[in-house]
Amino acid sequence: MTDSSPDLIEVREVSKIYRSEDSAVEALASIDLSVRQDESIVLVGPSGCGKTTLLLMLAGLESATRGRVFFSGRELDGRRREIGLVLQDYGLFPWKTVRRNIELGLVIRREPIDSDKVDAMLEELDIADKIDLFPQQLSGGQKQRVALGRALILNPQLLLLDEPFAALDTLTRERLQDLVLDVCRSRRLSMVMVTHNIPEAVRLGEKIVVMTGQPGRITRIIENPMARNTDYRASDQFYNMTRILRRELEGGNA
Amino acid sequence: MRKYFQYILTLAGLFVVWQIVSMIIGSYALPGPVTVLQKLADDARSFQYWRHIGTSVYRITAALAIAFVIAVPLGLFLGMSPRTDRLAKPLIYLSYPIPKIVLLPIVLLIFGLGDMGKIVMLAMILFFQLLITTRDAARGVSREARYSLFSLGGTKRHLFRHVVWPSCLPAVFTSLRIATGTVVAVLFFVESISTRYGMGFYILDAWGRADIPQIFAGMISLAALGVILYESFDIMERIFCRWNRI
Repeated sequence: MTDSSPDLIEVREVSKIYRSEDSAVEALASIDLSVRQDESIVLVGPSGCGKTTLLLMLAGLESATRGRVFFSGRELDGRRREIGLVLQDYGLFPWKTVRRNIELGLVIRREPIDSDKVDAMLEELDIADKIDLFPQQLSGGQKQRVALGRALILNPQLLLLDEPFAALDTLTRERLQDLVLDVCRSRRLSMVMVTHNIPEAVRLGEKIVVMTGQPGRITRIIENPMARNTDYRASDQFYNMTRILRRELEGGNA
Repeated sequence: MRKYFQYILTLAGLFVVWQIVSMIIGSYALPGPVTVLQKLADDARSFQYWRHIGTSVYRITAALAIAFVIAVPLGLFLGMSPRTDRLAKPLIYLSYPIPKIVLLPIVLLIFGLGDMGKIVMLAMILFFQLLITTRDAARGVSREARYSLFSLGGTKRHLFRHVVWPSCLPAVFTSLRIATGTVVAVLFFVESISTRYGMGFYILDAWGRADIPQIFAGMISLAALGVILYESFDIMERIFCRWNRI
């Protein structure tokens, strides 16, 4: 990926105000951000700083109060099939089996279901033997693999992940981080992820966007070009970067 | 198998206690289970008894079906539409606590003394239980579930079909089970007026003749009817909500 890659997503001067009958809360203020093709971006910051709101805007599920969001050069005015979303609580439907959950996007879009493609996807995500089980019969890591498969089956160009591994143990979390990197690399996907986990942000984000709250603003964008390298997690640079990020976040909270 | 064994055990225990109490009070005021079961067995050989049962079953299932068809879609709609729910709430909460049975004369006046009046009365009583349970279940659909569905390209129609309806089904079955208890209990009242058939009449007729064993035979019949309905809903829930039993 080079700096000359075109922007897949461009966020321009975006603000979001949630209004109720007697109050208004400014969740985001003047956000500028761009995501290039094949780039991975991680949003970090304290709870309530608007990371998820920004992610939902990129998904076309929330609208901006001010400013505009562009996808492939055109204003994003709703949901797009090129954008896949994976949520923290998996977003799987307990009444559907693994196969039915994965096929749901195709069913909704009335697209033919290619069983071979679904089977290959399940194989790639290492859940082929879970196909007829219900989500409640799966572990947290397996559920997140299904959620990933459900987003990937629609061939997105951009993958949005909202704290997808927050509820998982360290080893499962690291295995899934590697899996996400693999699928993004093999499909040349762009990725925007929200996380509270510093090592995860450093492992996955080529750009780490640090945010502060009330209202949510971007305070710094840290370039992290080594992210997504296979051996990065065990390197000195990795630990240096986690220290830099921690300092930045502690400064942001002070 | 274990479930049937539990039923048999419970019945056996109940009959033992019943027999002891009957012996203390005296068999005229409270006939023992053997006498009552003998009476039930005798009546069950007559066409008349099954006509009573058939009439009651018809009224109950018709009332359940009418209440279900109106209350469940309305409850789902209100649950999915907070604005309409806010508008409808005062009317629902004002009319829910009114004992609908006091409206029986008016209902019979409007819908007639035949089956329709009785079925409408039963349906009115069931309506609110089904409506409120279904509405609350539909309101409980999480924002994450909505986001998840919409992110796949779903519309409100898809949300209803793939999320709201299946997630509410267990609550619908629960409300049907609760409603069954109510409908069997209320049946006695509505079948005490202008009818010569139904288990309510069967019991009331026994009252008039001071036929105590028949009163208890009627009670056992109603209890059996309730169990059959409960178990039918259980079977349906096992089929349609397989995921909820794992």
